[in-house]
Amino acid sequence: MSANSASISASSAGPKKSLKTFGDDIWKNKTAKINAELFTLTYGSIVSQLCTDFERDFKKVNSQLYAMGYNIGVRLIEDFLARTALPRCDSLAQTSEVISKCAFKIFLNVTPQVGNWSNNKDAFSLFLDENPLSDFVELPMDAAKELWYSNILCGVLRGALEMVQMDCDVWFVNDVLRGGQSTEMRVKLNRIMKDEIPAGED
Amino acid sequence: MLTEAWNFPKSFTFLLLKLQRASAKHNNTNLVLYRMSHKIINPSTSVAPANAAGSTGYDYTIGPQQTLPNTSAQSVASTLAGTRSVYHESLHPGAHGSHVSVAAYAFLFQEMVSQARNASKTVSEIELRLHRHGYHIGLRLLELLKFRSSVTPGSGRSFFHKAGGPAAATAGDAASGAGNASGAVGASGASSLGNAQDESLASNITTMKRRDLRLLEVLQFVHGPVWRYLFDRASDDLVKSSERENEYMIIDNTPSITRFISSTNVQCDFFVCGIIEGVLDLASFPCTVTAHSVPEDKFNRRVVFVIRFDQEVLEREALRF
Repeated sequence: MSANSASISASSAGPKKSLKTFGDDIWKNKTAKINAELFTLTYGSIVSQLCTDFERDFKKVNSQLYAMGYNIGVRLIEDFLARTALPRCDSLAQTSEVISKCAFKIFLNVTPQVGNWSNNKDAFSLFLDENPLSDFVELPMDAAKELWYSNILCGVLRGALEMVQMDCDVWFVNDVLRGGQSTEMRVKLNRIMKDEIPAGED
Repeated sequence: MLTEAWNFPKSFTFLLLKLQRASAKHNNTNLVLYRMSHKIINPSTSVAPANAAGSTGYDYTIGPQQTLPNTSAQSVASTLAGTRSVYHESLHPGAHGSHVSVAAYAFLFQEMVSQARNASKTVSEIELRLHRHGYHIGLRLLELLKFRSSVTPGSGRSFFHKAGGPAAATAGDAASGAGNASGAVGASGASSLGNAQDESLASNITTMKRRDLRLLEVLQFVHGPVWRYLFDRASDDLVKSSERENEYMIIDNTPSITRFISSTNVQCDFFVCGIIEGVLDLASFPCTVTAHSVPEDKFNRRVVFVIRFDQEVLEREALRF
């Protein structure tokens, strides 16, 4: 672990331990688990069903997956905060560490690499070395050009970050399933939203 | 060597037919997972696949074609070659064992259900959709589990070495079943094909595990290995109906994937029904499976999966073989 992230975790109020051990610990001791392959197969079945439903219009499939992810994200953040009780992040750098070392670890048991920061530090990439969604998967020719198979993850991140007042764009830049060298997700912070009191019902 | 070269394509064709039949049943031929590889059946005679460039549809020598009008067959091949390693790793029994959190699965499942709900008009249509999702998983599961339990650690020589990755991929999938392959070290001579340093999974397979032929065996397989694979435990009971000859029941006291779903209007366990039916169907035990919520004292979420086999299964079962 780099000195950089060590200093981040030191400043992240709650846990004294590094975020990585923190995430590992929650995964090991506080998380109910289920077979990852059932997860993979279920997701595969969802995607293939969507492809049929939209008559192989992969742009629509992408956006539908994104929408599903968004729905998940806005709920998932609640679960995440309840499990980790992490405080608000001070910087996007810290957010990225939390996402990769805690969020991905706790839910999917993988730790993507963070990298490829933009010059003004408002965008970064997550490199998914292993992706539990896409084991076993091989895209058909026509899908390999347009379908972002794991697009649901983008929606999840977007939804979850939005619920902690970060308006972000999340998209896939590259995917090994499409013949790329790595699976890369890009997260770009647009703005920090103000805490707004929701409009009253009356 | 000659016999071996033919051994594989035969069984593959069988599988292909089975899958087509199964897919036709649900009017859905779109297989994203485990897509059939084009390169497996390659009769030494007939036309080279390259000639099929630009064609769409079905070519009986090489199976279903997914070539786009403007894409040549070569590029299909190169794309396939790039992703071949996917199967090498993921089919290995050792690959099984990783987990994700139940929360992540529950979120995904919930989205699947709501997707099914939005696309349907009636409750039974929702259930049918969930069932179909499960069915496609079941089809793959039988292959996966049987394939994996055929892998014996250590020795062995290439079984379908020639076909390499995609062969293994199509032939199956499999996760640790209970009874591991009864290491019947299949004989077959020592004509080693190709380079020995190819560490393919196939080199660990001496004999493919025998498929279950009797009704009870296959039910035990669902009750045991399949359940253990899916939910990390065997199902709670396997019962034969006393009223109807063709009816069996698998009982789950604490269904794990629907545990966060409170509504009983829609029976989300139809997803699991689909899995069971997929497994049994591909094993040539056609049946219909339905889920019924039957709460008992301690287990208020108890679910009974009723399996009704088609008449032909019973007739076959009555034969001695």
